[in-house]
Amino acid sequence: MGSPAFKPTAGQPVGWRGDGSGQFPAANPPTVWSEKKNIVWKTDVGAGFSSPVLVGDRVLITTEPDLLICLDAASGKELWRKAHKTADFPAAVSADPPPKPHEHGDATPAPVSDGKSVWVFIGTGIVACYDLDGTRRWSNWYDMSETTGYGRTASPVLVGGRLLVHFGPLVCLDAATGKVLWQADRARASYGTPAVTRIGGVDVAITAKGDVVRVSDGKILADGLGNCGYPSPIVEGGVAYFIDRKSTAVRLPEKAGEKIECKELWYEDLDPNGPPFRDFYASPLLIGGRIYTVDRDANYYVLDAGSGKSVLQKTLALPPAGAKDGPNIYASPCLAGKLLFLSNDAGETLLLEPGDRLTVVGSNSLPNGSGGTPTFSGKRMFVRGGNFLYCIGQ
Amino acid sequence: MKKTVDSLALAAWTGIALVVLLGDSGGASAAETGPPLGAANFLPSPERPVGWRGDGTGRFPAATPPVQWGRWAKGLTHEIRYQAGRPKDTSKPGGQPLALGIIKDWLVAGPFPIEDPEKDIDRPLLAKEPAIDPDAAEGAGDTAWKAVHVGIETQNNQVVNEGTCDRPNVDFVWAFGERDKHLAYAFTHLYSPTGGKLTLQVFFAGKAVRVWLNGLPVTGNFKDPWRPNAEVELKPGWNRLLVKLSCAESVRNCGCNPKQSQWHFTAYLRPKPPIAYQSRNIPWITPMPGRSYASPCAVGDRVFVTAGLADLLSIDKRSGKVLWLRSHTYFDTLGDGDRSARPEIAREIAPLVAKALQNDEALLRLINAAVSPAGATWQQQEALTNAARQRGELQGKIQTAFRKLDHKAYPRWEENDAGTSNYSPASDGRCVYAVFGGGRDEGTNVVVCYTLEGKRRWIRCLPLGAPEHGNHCSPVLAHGKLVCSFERTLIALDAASGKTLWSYTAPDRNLGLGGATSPLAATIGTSDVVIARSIFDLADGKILWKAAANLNRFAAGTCSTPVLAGQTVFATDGSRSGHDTVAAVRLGVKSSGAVALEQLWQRPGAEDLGPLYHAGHIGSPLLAGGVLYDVDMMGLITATDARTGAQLFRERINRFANCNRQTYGVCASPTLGGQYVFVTENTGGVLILKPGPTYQEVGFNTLESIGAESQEQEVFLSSPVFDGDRMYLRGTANLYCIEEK
Repeated sequence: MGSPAFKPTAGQPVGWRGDGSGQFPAANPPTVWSEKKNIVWKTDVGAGFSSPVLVGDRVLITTEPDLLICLDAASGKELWRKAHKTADFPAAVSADPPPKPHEHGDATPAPVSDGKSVWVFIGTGIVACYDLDGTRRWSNWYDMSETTGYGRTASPVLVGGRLLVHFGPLVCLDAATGKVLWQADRARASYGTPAVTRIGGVDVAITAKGDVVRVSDGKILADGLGNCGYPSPIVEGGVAYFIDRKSTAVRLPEKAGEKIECKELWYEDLDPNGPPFRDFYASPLLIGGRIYTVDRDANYYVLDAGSGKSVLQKTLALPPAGAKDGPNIYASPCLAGKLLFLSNDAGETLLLEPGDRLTVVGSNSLPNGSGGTPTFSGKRMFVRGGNFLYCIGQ
Repeated sequence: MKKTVDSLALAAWTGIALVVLLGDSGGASAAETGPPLGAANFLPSPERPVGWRGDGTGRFPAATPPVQWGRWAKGLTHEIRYQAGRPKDTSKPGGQPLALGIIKDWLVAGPFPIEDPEKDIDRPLLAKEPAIDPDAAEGAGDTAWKAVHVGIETQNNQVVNEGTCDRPNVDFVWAFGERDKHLAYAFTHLYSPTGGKLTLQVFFAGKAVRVWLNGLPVTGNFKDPWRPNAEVELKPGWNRLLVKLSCAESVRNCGCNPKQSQWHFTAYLRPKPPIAYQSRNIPWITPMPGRSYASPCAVGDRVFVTAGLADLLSIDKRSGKVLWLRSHTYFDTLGDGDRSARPEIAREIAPLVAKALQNDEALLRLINAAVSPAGATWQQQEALTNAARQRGELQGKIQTAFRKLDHKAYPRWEENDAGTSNYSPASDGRCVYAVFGGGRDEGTNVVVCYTLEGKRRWIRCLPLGAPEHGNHCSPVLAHGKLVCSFERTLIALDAASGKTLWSYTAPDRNLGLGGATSPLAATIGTSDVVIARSIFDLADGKILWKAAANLNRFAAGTCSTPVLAGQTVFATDGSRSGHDTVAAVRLGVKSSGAVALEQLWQRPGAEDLGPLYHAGHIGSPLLAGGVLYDVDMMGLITATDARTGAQLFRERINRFANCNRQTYGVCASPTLGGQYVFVTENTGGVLILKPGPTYQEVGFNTLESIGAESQEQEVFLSSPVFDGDRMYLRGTANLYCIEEK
């Protein structure tokens, strides 16, 4: 991930946070930029909280109210855009009454691609599939209930030719046709994107609310593993991590039966002393046995992945941290090369060395920020700043 | 009691034969005996229980509260007046009296393009700056000074949920449009009879700010987002205040609001601490041990209020003193057997609990010493804040210790940002019922019953969870059952024993009540029912009428609770249009016995106020004298003919409310106290209206209350309660008893 030569495939798809981990070890983006420096291009794509996804020489991004936009990664030139209202589709795709745009936006989920096709999920309940030239393969509107108060935000996930979409219930679509293969009503969505992993050769999705769902048939093998309010879970080395104000780590079993037993390794409160509570919007990074995360007010945490104990807790200089109605951190931290990239929604980005001490190696700002997480490829970084998508590079 | 719409002839409703409908607005006639709500001798009983909004209608028709009262800081600020334009006779006072410290009239000049918002702030762009003394329409560079009155209509736009309006700002984006890298001036005249020292606060969004008083620079910590304070001294007579503010980007994308102003300020004049108060028509003010948005519940000679993590207080009506305080942690929810099951509880937690009880007693002494007509002194406030903080820490330690034992059995019930004691208590005259907790997602909900003397009869700990901002639905008492709503679950408990009688969990969050809408008890035909999105048989929880997910009739998509008048339910609905509509729905019974609904009318939302106006309802409507009053979170009052659904008038409160994501402008429900309708905005200003088809203002009263710690005005989100000559109003910091002296 992060290598300029990386090409997504069906076995290694790319979507929100790249492969979901937020790690782009092969990337080597600039460490200094501004509106006037190291901007290869910027393109007005419109508002949104979503992240760009890089597929070969193209960048795909969702934007409000219901758009998927494809840009040329080298020039930033728009190649195509597709709108997603039911009226944009053939008569077969009908919804009565038409789905209502959500006041908090519908273009938060990132697209996902296997290198040949791209799938997009619009918060109103529309899912569509295109080839990379923008030719629609299929589209549909799904009449599913929503379980989140601020709209649908989980990005779709591709696994073994199947598309997992967290409409409210977790739903598995045939990626080739859009047909519903199964629907797990009890695996209710919060805001985070499910993590996918294998247990004894069996593909499973682990939801933000701690359900383990078998991809083949939607059976819930375990539940209540953890509970993320806004962030997404991550899985590494057979352990699922749910990092929020209350964090847990759970060991997954070696084999997947009809029911699985998962052992809780630890539970920790990240703010044990009560109010004022700090929300975590960002999802964590797990690098070398350390978990890195940041709350909305720029309080930065490094946890020992083995014990959950805080190794470091510091308020970052992402101004104005702690302000009443000031910037928030929505974007998840990323690893690009050897550095952590942390951004707030006012356009400030801090570059940190991973480790048990706070080592800030850079601070850059753009005039406007966003809630979207950046993506990286080679010497370039693609990041949303206000209504623009920026390509940052030398 | 006033006749209500349910006694009107039925609209044509073919195919459905209606069985008997009750005629009067209150419900069953046998239960109507005894003094009406609001009467000084009203006493709740199992037949006529009280809870949130009294009997749920928000009507206290027999009450006789005052229409004038006030509390204000002693000294300088109370005598200050302001006006934008130059006074004609500088030897005389003029302009508007300063209230709640906010200067609302200004002259503005601009926009002036600049290169560097940080550096160019110190470049004079007006001749004679800073010693200017302008008047409206006079020249300012190439432009002219123009008057701006601070209000909701002078904010850049009105997308409420992600916080455009914020404080009552002087908004240069509204005045001059979106202008990146620009600078503007605002100017006002202040009159002080005596002159003297005070605190000037300038909250701003923008890049750099400069302030001058009488031509001299004011140095202050304006970059501090919490306390942007400067010490200033007004001279006797007229003073000139000049503010200069630059912006880099004049708007930014914030949540769903693409045009949040980043070029505005609000100026407050505050007395210098320590602040002392005087009051009018306030027999007592009792400081609260913690915040709550719940309404008080008046029972006999007592008032019950909730506070903090999970406190229930009983207050003596005459003196305002706290008679007892019951706090709750997981320790209190356990029986002796459960406490001894884990040795850690006796060893580690019990000593903390003992310490917390001592702290409670000390806090009670502090509170009772501070009860007075003017409220706690500054020193008392500081002592109370310290004691409350220590208490919060102790309670946090107890809860954390339980989580360490077993975080799944004892999830955080305190985990949400809106509070855990916002459910209003209920009473049947013998006991008082209170609900706490909820947390977020998997949190615990605590339901507790005490005698009026504070003896606990039962406590329940229900692991039913809460939406992401918590549960705040008040319980409703009806026919010996206490009906509570937690997230998607409606649950009926036996009021005598606390045992669960029935419960229903909606399959979909859109079919549950959510975190803010309270269940409503009603009678349809001869059946006692609960309206909670769907309609349930109170006896057994059977669904008598099932709501559809995408077509809701009872307060769908809003926080407000419907109001019932006889067989008609009035409810807001934000589920379809994005703007809350208001509808009247008649409850009926088909000849088959099935419950059927008939929509009588639906009044459109405020679409005509423009695409950016998205203000839902937190408060519930009030039906009084055939007119339905609803007030949205931006303080827009709409009066509707309850019979036809025709809009009668629409007015804004538009006084002092802050409208941002932390606190909506109006959350309290309009309430009828005797002859008048009382509308409370979130700064504690209460607008009093005469009911009727036209807008008739009777008065507007304020309660100035600057927190010693926050240095901000107290927040008021609760609906008032009326009782004889009195009104009880809960702010986040105090309980106010208002009565004419």
